[in-house]
Amino acid sequence: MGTETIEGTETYKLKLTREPITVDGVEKADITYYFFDMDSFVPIAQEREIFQGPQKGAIGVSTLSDYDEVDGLYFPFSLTQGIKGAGSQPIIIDSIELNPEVSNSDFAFPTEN
Amino acid sequence: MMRKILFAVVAVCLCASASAQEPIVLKGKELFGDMQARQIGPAVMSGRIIDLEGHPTNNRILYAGAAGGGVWKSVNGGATFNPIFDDYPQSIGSIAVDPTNPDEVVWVGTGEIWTRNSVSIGEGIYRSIDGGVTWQDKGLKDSERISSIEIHPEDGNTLYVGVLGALWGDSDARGVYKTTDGGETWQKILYVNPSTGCSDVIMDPNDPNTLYAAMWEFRRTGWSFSSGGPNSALYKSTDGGASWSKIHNGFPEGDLGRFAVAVAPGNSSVIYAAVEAENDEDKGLYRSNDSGASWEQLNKDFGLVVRPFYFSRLVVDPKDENVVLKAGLFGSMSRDGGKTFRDFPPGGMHPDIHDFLFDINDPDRLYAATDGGVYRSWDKGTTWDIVANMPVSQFYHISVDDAEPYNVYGGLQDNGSWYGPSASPGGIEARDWESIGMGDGFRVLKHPTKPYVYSEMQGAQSVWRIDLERKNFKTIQPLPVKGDPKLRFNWNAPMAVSAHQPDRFYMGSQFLHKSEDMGDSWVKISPDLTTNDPSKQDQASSGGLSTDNSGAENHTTIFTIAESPLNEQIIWVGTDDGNVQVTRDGGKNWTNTVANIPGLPANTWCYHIEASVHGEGTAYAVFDGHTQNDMNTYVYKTTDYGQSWVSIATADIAGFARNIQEDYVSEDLLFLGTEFGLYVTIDGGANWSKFTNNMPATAVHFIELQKRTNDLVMGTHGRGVIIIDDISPLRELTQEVLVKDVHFFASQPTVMSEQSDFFGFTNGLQYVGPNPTTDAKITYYLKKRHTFGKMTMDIYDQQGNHLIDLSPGKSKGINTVTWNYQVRQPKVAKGKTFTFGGFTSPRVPAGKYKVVMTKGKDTYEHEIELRYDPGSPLTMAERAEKNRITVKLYDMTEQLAYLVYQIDTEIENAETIAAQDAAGKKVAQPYIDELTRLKESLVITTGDNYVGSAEPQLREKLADLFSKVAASFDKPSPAEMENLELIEEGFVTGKNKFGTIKSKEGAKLEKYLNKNGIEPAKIKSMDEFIGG
Repeated sequence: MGTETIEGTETYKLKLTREPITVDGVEKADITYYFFDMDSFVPIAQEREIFQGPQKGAIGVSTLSDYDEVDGLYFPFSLTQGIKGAGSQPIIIDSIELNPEVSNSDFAFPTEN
Repeated sequence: MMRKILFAVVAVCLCASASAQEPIVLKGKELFGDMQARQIGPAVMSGRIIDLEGHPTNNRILYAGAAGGGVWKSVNGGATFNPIFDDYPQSIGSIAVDPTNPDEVVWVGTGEIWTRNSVSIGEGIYRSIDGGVTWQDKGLKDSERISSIEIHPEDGNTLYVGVLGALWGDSDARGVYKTTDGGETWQKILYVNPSTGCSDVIMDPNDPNTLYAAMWEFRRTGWSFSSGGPNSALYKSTDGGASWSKIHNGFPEGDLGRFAVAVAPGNSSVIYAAVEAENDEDKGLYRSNDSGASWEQLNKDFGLVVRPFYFSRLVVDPKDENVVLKAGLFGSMSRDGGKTFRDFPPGGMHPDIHDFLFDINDPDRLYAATDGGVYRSWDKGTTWDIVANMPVSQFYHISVDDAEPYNVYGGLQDNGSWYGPSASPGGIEARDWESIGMGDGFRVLKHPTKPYVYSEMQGAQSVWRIDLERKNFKTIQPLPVKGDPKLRFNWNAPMAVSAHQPDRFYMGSQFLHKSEDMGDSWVKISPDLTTNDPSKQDQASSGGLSTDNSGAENHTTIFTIAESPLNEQIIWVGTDDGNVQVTRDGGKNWTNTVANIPGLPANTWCYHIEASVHGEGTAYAVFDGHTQNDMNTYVYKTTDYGQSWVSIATADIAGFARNIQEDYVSEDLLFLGTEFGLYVTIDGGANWSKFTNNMPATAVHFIELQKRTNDLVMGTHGRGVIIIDDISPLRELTQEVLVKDVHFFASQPTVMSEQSDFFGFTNGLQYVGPNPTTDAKITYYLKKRHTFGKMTMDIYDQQGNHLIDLSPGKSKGINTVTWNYQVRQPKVAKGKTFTFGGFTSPRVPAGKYKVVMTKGKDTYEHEIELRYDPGSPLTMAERAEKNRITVKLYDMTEQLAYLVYQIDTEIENAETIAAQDAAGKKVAQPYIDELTRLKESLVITTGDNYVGSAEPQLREKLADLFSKVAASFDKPSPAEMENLELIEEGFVTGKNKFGTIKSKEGAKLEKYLNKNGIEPAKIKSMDEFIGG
């Protein structure tokens, strides 16, 4: 899609179109834009229109940073989510474990004590 | 079955960075980073609206196009509107909703079509296919003004567009255009000549191949306006625009002017046309009952003939062909097919009405576009109500004072003069703005030391000196004296105050007038400083077919006055006909320096001169050539009193410029206002960047820099007052700083706000301008965006105690992190319900705090300072007492939490023992019972967070007192201290009771555990508990 400046950084803009989704009974194209840092080629942001709720019609933005290596692969340890042009909230990841063994029981609903 | 969680794989390539020799040039968003503009309104008087457009089936959706404030959309039937076109030219000509896809497709033609002297320019046509969220450029870039957009009712890709075209020069871009491919290509299907544009295209609502096109011959100069000529005509096509013929049967002979045309939606054989003609008796409303084959004159009331260039719009009731609305000074309505008209009651809405819109279901519901915003009526125009959240106010000029918070003063197109605060408890509301002038307002200046304000109305007809304390005014404009020629004041007449003599006041006609007593007496201190070209002084015959001598075209006048802030003998004067005059002896001798300015076309309007604080001979001059059809940017600097000038404009800048503001500290930092927004240079004009962070592409007419706060304050001609808080970081962006990986900017100490914020009140429909942040700001520069490795920011006190962690910004360029000078909330004892007092975060005391930023392996430190409000009545001893009590309550809250945690853990453990066997139960149960009884006196154990509230216990009482003391801006009161005593006693009692129970029932249990070799419960330490 060309290039765009995100957080002061030149990026390549890519458009990802997924299967259409149905929102409030209307089928909508499901499009996400990814922004890849031109220097390092990691994605540093993505944008997607918000289809529901009070922010309907606005563009939701997530940014990705604090990339670090885990078993030879780079992962973002900090994510922010917000509305384009407005503030955002960070989510900090303390650690990432690759391909952990997860038991089925972890997905069971806890029973009331 | 086991599952594997697969992560997406990200390929990483670390590339070596480029050579380090080149100077670093920061542009655009990289330069400004987190700096945000703050749009403070006002919306109380709103501003000029050009066009209203509805949705064909959903009457809650409306669009309004502003003269200089962009496109606004309402989704609630006009209760509120929101801007949807901020990145594009803000001067709007026409809006159209696609009838084949009205929810999604909207077209906007830019460039205002009500061609008063002060109109801005457009840049083509745009389309949205998502209801206005995003826009696509659809060409017609040279159109300057688009008057109409008509969309085929069955084919949304077929459109007819009327291009009115250039106002100040010839243009062959005028005419009627057609596209059949949704704007990819355009075909000009009707063109008359370079001076005749299309003022309206109308499609027969019942036959898309039948079109009407009104062509208008018109021209404006800096000193005149002309409406009409032999080429103005009304055309009709019945073959989709392939061929056109004039339909003048019944119209007057001779030159014609601007038409207003409307086809009755319910009966398209009925057409109304307001006609501007040579003879007054021929002007007025004509009606055709045969689709334009013949016309009959019905009415020539004032409302039908007034200022056709400003009011050529007719709107017919969609349900009744005989109900016709005419735009005008007051607007008027006919209910008898155009025979008689009645003005809307004056005073009901702002005068100067440009468009109307009928509700699609209920024709008694009306919307009107006026010089003062959008109005709505529920009773067909008997009463009107303003839309109160559209700050599309059009300032010509603004100024600021040095109050705390400072005020902003300014004059507006057709909306008088006002002042209001830059911050107000609860936000800047309509009621915060004070009216200080009538008519068209222009310059407004506060007396530098006394409570007086100078304001004016059009052409210095009145210049007021307003006594703010006694709430009265007197007029003080310079009056002619014996021997004077007629004084020529510009419509936007210049005035100036002095940095050296507070009572001094300047005004400019063709002469420079000076008063040393606030306007009571005047002396002329110059000869005629203009070209005094008589060919530009015949305003009495301006207007063309409709004489229009409002004063708006007065020319060969002084337009800008600047006394040097360094030397009161040095005064600069710029004129609208292109002179730049300077005196170095207080007005005895004047030198015209315009011949020394390279590359400036003759007679280009000198819009602003800024006399510099950086040198007596240094000044900036900004020229605006748009009234000569020259849209270039002209910005010059001299350092030798005008003997030589250099251009500091570059190709970075879009739009003609009107104003420049220098920084008072860095000579290389300059702010330029152009027709499309704000441009900033940090290197003396070598590179310019457009400021777009929450800053619409609106015309910036005037800029001030508030000296105490370093706030950049802009008067825009379409979006009110816009402020960029504290531009001081831009001063520090030298090459030495730009090459650093991280640079913390110096910051002034933050005064911790002691204002409660519930003082504002609006009904939710009014615009409320946001306040500046009162938080401490930590501002830093990053050479590169932080992408790899951990990045954190922490605040420590002087003793090295960690107080709080903040989320650092990671963008390349300037990042700003705010801290509300609070530490985390105390950890509160667990209970059945919340205790709301426990959500209070206490503030830290005044003092210096350390900011530690870690970025990968590197650590950077910075210090910020917090101060108490110097206006507070509290003494330092009282502050210390307040902090002591707050900390005590905070600690006690956490100790109580720890106590309850211990009790809970003991109970849990004892319950396990009790469940094992009868022996265990016997020894554990008394312990459980005693502990439970104690706990019930400490925290709430029943109820819910809503109305099922239980009796408050110690935790709730403690939290309430903590919150009361911590959130108050006063010292702890005697009542609070007495309450503290009670609570403390309760706390100590509880703590002791826990000890007693432990040593009695608890000891028995312990003995039992020991005997049976059972591990006692693991109790965390206080530190472990708080940390966890």
